[in-house]
Amino acid sequence: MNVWAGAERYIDRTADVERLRAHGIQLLAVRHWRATGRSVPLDLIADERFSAIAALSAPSLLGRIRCLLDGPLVVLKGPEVAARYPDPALRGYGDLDILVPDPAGAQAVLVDAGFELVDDYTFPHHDQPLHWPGSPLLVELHRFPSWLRWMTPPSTAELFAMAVPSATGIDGVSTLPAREHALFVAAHSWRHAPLRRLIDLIDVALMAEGVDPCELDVLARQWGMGRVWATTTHAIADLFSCGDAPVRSRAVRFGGRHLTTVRDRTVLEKHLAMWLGALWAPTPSQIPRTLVATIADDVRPLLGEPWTSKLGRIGRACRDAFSPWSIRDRAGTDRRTLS
Amino acid sequence: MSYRIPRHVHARAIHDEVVVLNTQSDAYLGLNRTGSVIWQVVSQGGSEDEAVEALLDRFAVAREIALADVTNLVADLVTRGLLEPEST
Repeated sequence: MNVWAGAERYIDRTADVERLRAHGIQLLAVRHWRATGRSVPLDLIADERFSAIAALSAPSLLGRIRCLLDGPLVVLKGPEVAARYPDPALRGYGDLDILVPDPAGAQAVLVDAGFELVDDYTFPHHDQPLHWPGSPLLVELHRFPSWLRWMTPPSTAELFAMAVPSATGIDGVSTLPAREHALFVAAHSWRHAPLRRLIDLIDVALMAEGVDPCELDVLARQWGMGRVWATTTHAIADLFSCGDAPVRSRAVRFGGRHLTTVRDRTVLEKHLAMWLGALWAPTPSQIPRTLVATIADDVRPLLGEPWTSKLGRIGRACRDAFSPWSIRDRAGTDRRTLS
Repeated sequence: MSYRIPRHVHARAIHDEVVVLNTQSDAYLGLNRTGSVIWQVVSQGGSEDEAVEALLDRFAVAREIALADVTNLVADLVTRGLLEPEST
């Protein structure tokens, strides 16, 4: 499967920069438009410049962190996924997600060394991102990857044990093997919302490239995400296969029209999709409690957040229910505190 | 005089621009089309005169302006630690 040809089909369906951005494929659009002699909007050139700077910065920032911290460092997504693109700068990212055994301790060490806590986060928490002065990238330290709530993933110790050298080539910096990373990328995307963005599906397809599909299926079932994985791979096959064959995947037909039309989900659609993602829990008995827990997570305040603030956010969400999610995303703290 | 890129400096071309990053300070600089042409020449050991000629080849610009552009940019790059004079 040639995901690039597939991606270009979707790029050709819209010239709307915001819609392309909502699906994370604006940098692929820049490449495609240049190759076909079309002009590139100035704000996409700015996106391209930022992505190039991020791609240059990531290894040096990781090297700096490696020098400061003891113990394992496992980088997830970001530069590891970007390394699978024809040019890493085609896959933009704004932060480095790093698994460490003790995020709070690591955060303290980095702050002592000159890293700064990002202070425009409304509700400080131990995952509060860090920023090195001058660097365009944020750093997020995690104890666990962002799994789906019903999954039975390996322990963090097991993840550290199976880690392989990072694609950044920095000594002592690791990442997950491709098989586990592909599943992690799929789970992480699903946690935000099923079939979230075209770029998420491209990421999964690239991470899974070269891995035995049977091994992926088996591991996905072991981790309790067999149905999520099956839906994800069917969607990839449907959306990025050659030609304009009709979409066969029911999930794409009923919940992925925003993908085929390169449209951003509305705020309401995004929340509904996130809640309905619970229907992919591995057993019928897990679905009701997963659904309740997912909705409860969405409607209750974040750790440390007063109810007045949460109610204000709910009010804004209701007001913007039919607005594109990405507009709300860029407008304030909601994306940062919720993602 | 010729110049070289210090080990801690990395550059990446994006279409007709170049971004240059100093990994020691994490300061970065975006170079426009003119700056990119100058960078391509001097970062590969070319002299300032050669950079002026490259600009004259590529752009309809007076020699004095090209010379001023090259002199100013190279001085700025050296000040920022993004380029260093080649020791002979």
